[in-house]
Amino acid sequence: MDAKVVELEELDLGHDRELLSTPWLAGPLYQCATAVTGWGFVPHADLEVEVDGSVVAGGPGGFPEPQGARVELPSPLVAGQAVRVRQLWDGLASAWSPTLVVRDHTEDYPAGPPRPQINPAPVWTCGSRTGVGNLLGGADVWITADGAEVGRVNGCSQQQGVNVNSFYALGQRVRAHAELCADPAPPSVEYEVAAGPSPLTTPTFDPVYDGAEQVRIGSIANGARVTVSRGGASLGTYRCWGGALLVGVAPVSAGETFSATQELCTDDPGSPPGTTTVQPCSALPAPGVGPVQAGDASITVTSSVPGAIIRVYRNLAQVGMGTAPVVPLTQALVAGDTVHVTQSLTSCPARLALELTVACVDPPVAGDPSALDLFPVGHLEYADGPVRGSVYYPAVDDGEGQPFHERLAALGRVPIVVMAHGNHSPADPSYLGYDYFQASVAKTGMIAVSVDCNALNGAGGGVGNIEDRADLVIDSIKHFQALDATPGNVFTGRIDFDRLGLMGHSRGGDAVVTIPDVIGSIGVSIRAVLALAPTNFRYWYGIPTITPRGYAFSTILPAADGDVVDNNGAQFYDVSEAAPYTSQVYVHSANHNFFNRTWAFDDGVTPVFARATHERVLDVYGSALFRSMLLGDGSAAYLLGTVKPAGVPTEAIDLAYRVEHANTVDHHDDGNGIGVNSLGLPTSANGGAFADEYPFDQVGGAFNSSFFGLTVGMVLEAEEEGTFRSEVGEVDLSEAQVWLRVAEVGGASVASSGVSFELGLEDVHGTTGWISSASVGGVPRPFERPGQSKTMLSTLRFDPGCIGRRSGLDRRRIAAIHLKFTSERDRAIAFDDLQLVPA
Amino acid sequence: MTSDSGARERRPRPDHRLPRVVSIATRLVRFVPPERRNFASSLPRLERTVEFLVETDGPIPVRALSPVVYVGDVPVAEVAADDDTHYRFTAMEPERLEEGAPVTLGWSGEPASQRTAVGEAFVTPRG
Repeated sequence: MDAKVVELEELDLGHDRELLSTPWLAGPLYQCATAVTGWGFVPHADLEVEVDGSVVAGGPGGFPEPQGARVELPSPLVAGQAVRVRQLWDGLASAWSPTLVVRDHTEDYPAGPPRPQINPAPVWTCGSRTGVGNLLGGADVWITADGAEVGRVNGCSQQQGVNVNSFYALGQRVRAHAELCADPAPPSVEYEVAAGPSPLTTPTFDPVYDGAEQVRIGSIANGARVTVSRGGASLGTYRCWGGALLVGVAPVSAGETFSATQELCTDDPGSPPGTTTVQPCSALPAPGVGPVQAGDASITVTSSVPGAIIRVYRNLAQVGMGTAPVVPLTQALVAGDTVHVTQSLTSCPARLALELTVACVDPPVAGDPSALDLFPVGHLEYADGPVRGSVYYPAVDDGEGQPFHERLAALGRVPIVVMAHGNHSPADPSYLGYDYFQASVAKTGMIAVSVDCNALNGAGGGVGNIEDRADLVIDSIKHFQALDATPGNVFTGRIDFDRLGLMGHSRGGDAVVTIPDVIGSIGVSIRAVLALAPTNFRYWYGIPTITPRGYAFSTILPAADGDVVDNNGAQFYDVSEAAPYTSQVYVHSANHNFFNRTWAFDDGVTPVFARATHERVLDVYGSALFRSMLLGDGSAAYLLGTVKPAGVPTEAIDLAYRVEHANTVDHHDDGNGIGVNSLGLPTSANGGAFADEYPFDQVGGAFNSSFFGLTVGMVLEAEEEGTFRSEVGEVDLSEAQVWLRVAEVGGASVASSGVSFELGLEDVHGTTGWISSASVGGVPRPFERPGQSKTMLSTLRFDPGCIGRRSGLDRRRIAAIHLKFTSERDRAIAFDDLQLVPA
Repeated sequence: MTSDSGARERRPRPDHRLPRVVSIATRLVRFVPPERRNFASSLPRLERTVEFLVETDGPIPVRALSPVVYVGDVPVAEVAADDDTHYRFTAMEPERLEEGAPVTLGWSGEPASQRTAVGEAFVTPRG
């Protein structure tokens, strides 16, 4: 995102004193909820909640952060009711929020409400308050210690603090419970109360500014009691679920001091006091915001002062006024718009603004496909001679050998994912190394098997070894078919072999790509295959690479892989057929081993991310693949670049992807030369542009040695303004995007600056409109591997709608696509898979 | 108080160096692809092919890649370990083995420049 901080004095912002953004309700809303939670209102505004056209509840909202305003309803919600909210402030009334229609929760959660999560965990001795997350808004939530209820909130928010009485005692077993419409969720993971940190950390303060009415205090132990003083006078003691505490105060003045201490057990020493001094209004910074792209009708605030009013200006005219974390706008944003965002406090006007340009494509960071948590997870070891491994599954409770989740089972059979590790010392139980991912898959309602392939591990190798592994994985699939068909075990009648997914790591990745080609008709349908840092023995030995086809394929490629140094998964991606999609996740600063918990050594050729980050990458992108293909939800968006997952270093991840229903302009594989594209139409290079087709492969004739794929593509070099033109006949792009795989060509070292280009659309009248690569995310920089950076292409999406109307371009009658080099001379850009994709 | 400049921890790393080849011998063998339980192997049945018997002075490291005997640039890749220092490499395309070509040991996919010469030129064994 292209953003900078500017002084408001330099701007001539047009304020709209009548503008008050609409607040919004945390949704979805479910039948039986006894409260709703409003967000985005101005501090101290009054809220009005309307149900089926009548205002039924409301009152002062207080502060929107940290949990929104919980508004109790006079009667529980009923499915089909229409609910909305508005705010009243300073004589103004906002528009009503978008209407939410109340649903029956069993429409979304047919096996019952999701299991609550103690968040943050764990729980400490003398803890006085516990946070509970993963809740359906409006449900009832309670906490038990050793089975006895110790705290409850009826009509909860989606993240709810629950006070505990009496405080936790060492060794108690604590769980959170939730229920909606007399439908109980599975209880949370059980935590044993442990002794808290000693000594307790000194509380920290976020900066406090003149005029603030909230003070955020951090470094708080879970369940601690925090005593806050202002100018030496106590403001009181607050229970906190842990992490940070946001305390409301009367407006503060510069130079005032605050202090805070925390304690768990009263007979233990409390923490030393943390202190802060209120800073002058002039120190108030500009807020931070998330990605902003064309078409956005809201701004996501990523950092702001508690209680600040956020104002948003589009091309200097005010279009929003609200509060974090999301400010709705009165107008949708257009690519190239200049947006300013300010924050102010009641008596502290903004002095600075964040200025940014609206990108054509800059996907939002939203959600986490691995976070879906519906069921407890049971697990088992299985063994039938050499056919062995571990299995995780949705269960009635967590633990070994637990019965299958009955209510889920009653809804029908569940999908299964089978995993295969790679070659490693047979002394290590490699199959146990993906337990975290197995559990993640299982809690969403799928069965996750990890096959013990240790009998095939060692110094041997070759295509035969890959076939051995494929054979053993199929044995395990058959083993579970037998269990499914045999009365009296956990999996009897539970498994849907028509929804089978495969995940393999290293040689296991090679094996899971092999399996669909060899498995034959044994009564399974493979819907998704994930090859994690796979080998490709066939390629090495001159045998044709297997084409992943007939299922969704994804490969994760660790850029710093010190074992599979060629990132052979790129070859599988290049030859794969999209069914319905295929994707490649190229992860900078990741090694080969850290995805498996039993593989200890860091093989990275550069410093790499922590092991936990590797696990997050597999968890997030693997969950996206299997959820989308086996559960049929929308998680593919994370692999197709339309949403970025939270909690993953997405700035270090380059995605490539293709979808089934695309019109390919040029894939360069048809052997018809650079002068003709895959549509059979002419291309040309002019104005000093030089383009040709090269194998993107480790073979003679490649442009240079930085290409590690298995395809043919185009390399464009150009004098400034040089252009490559590819005719498309006459196509309507008013409802389509142009997708293009692109990379800065790597070399022995990474150049100090990146490369850029513009994509042009030329209509039948000869009018051309341009979109810069920078406005769709930019050409990814190569990962700097010692001695050889790689040219790894990733997909950029160009939305023709980003070309302004003033250009006069007729998007319904596009005749040619241009690529105009805008980098300095003597640089090269690699292109492949120029496609027109329905929006 | 003075500041400590710190001491950077050295990461334990896998050692992918190949051991030294003590001896290498060739013989003609018949290759029957392994019988699979669930599908037919894609490896060819060969009435006559070349097997390389490699003795090393230590175990070949266990990793994703596989050790490979190269005859010139032709990989001899199907490898089985008899013990920690004795390995059998079987050629799947014996007709591509060129008389007199240098024999090297390396990892699958590794460029020729990084392979270790074993000091022998290839000679087709007499049957």
